[in-house]
Amino acid sequence: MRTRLATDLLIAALALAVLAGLLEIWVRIAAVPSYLFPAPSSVLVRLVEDPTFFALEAAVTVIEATFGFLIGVSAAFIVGALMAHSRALERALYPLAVLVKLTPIVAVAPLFTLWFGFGSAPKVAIAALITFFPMVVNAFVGLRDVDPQELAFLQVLDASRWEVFRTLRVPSSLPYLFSGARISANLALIGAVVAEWTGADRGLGRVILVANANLDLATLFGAVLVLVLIGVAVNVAASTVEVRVLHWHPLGQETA
Amino acid sequence: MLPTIAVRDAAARYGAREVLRGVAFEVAPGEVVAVVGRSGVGKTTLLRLLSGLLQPAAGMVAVDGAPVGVARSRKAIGLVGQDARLHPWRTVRRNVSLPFEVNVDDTADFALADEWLRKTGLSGAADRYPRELSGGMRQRVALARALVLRPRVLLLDEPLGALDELTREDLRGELARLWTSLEGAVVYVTHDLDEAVLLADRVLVLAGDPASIVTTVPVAFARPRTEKLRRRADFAALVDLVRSML
Repeated sequence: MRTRLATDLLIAALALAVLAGLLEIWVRIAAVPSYLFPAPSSVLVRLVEDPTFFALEAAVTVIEATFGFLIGVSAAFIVGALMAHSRALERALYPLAVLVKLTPIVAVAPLFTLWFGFGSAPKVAIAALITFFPMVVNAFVGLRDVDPQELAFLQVLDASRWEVFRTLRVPSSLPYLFSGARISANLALIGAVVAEWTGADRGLGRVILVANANLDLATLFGAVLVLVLIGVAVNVAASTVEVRVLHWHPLGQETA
Repeated sequence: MLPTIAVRDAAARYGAREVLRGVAFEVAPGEVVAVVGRSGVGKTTLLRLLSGLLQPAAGMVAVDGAPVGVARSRKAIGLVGQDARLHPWRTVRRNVSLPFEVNVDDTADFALADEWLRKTGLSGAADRYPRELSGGMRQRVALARALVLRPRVLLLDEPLGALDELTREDLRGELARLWTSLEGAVVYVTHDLDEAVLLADRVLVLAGDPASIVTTVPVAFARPRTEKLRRRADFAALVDLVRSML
């Protein structure tokens, strides 16, 4: 699995290098101004010149996204579990979950800044909000969609709802939970960046906003590249955990 | 002698639709009863009544003289379905020991689980996962899992239905061998009339709409029965008799 993952990453890095090379040639031949599109080499130089700056700003965004992710997926799992156990709760909670999904994050982000201030709290809240829906749907479907024969086997043994939840529903929902978590992890990063645009003094979102205002596109693309690398790292980590936990499921074998 | 299973004038409904009406029969300790009927007649519904998963709309179902709920609470009912997918995240050994983990706070008895794995010829597969097993092996695991607590009632819902003929033959012999070691009652639902006559002491024919037991055909062939029995004329005649009742 590790060999395959390393090969995949190498191929992706090579493709990115080829693309960067082509862009470099285009920028130089066409003499594209740096305030419109920076040469990939200047982005690389900017990153190498000041790695601490990007690392510290990235750490702020990652921490906000991580807390938002943990809060969002935990809340979504609880709501999904309640919905999976009760039709009445499903009817009551599902429209609210859809409402959360339909709410444009960009529109409500300034409100969160107004309510929670300029610190990390509104960023964490936005990241939590944006991760909520994919996870709640996956948790709900995964916890409800259990093998009827296995459910009947446990019910015949007079297993309690908690025992059915523990021994059947949670393990059988893991493929769904992983899919939800994978989508949510990427969304959490986007949520944190968007939230930083509406009022922040730190983070990659703010770096992008300020660089854009200053027409400093090398810094802007540098920040975007760092975000892409974080996204790749998140997906690699998710795949690694998935292979270990879902070894019994086609999803785990597919990832491997 | 108190029957292990007693069904008295039982009815079953799904909403407004009555599926079973006036179902009545008994199963004695150690007896194997096959239930046959056309597709969709209500065979699985009858098993749901017997397992307590469905409450009778009328009448009653008792196990050892008590309501079926009491038997469930004592983990005295074992159930095997058609296509055993088991708990795919558990090894074979942990699947077989699953019944210890629910209802009563038993400690997982791996020694007993291993004993049943040995009885079902699965000792070598104890640490494997269900996806690594053939359909026949998975069905053996399902059987071991249902029998590990030595239930008073074993309910089988077309357990060989998804298997090829050779595997079915193997498992038929295995089933007969395993349940003779039980003192409880076995109810075996199948659409295969040969299988019903080969395995059962009595064949109950379920027919009608709503369905009821229209006849009971005793099977007097001596045990142990082998596949050779199927080639005998009196066996074929009995199968034809059951078929004519459907």
